[in-house]
Amino acid sequence: MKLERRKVPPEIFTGSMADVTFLLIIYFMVTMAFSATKGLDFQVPKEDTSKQVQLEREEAVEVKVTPQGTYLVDGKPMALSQFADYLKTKIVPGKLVDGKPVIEKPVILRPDPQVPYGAMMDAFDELRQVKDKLGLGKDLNISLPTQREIENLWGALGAL
Amino acid sequence: MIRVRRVGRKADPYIPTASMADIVFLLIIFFIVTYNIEVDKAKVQLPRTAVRTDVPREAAYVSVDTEGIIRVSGGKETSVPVSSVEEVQTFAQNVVAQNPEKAFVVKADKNTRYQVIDKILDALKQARVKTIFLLSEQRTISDRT
Repeated sequence: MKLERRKVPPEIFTGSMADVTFLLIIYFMVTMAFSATKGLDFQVPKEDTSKQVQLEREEAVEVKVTPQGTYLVDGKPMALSQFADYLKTKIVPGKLVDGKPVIEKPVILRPDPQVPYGAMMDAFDELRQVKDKLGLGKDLNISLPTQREIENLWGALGAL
Repeated sequence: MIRVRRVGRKADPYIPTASMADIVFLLIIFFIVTYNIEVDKAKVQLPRTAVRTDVPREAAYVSVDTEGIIRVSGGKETSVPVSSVEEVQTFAQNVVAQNPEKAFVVKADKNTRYQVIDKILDALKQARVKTIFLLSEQRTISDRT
């Protein structure tokens, strides 16, 4: 006796494929870090003895953050919003880069050790915005000397 | 009058789902490519700034949380706490020895005393780190009056 066999069409079942991949998507979405991935960048100046000259007081604009959280620019108390106006006076007369004025003087940011980090970042942020506010041809040269660097410099100046 | 009878097979009503898998796979590939592993889970209140630049992928991290615990990560592994700033410097030196162009991210709470940040920056500078990012959040109009 011959048995009748029903023929099953050969096929790969893909119906659940979408379900599996959706599950994977949900996993990736949930574990994805929505953390802040942006910040203020600054290039650390290369160790160069000739650049040390920039730290001389008369040559630079000095921005101090006091323990009370106020700002002193070249010794004068100033609000953050006044930084741009003050730095406008430091524009080199007659010099243009790409048809725009420039400030050659370096800006030294010196926060007091007791100051909260946020207050220092406010000042740093404000200084970084000066380029756009004044329409300058290049970025301000902002330096952030550390306590040790300042002490070393004073040591070196004292030895002279 | 002739009665017209419809002939032919009746189409089954169904939604084609064959391309669904393709679409979903495409989405998965997008997520895998843009996936960022959060290396540092320290909860901090970041300072807010208006100027922000993208941090490169797999940058090394130095974080200071609200309790003042310093953690470091080479960018791929989860951050580990260190006991002193000297350790941060040793860590940074090792990272820079492997990749001199490696960027460092400083993720610190906005209420941290600046002297801590100063010491960390000094450690990074001494380790010859070339680029440092100070992690921040977008400043909004209501942040400063």
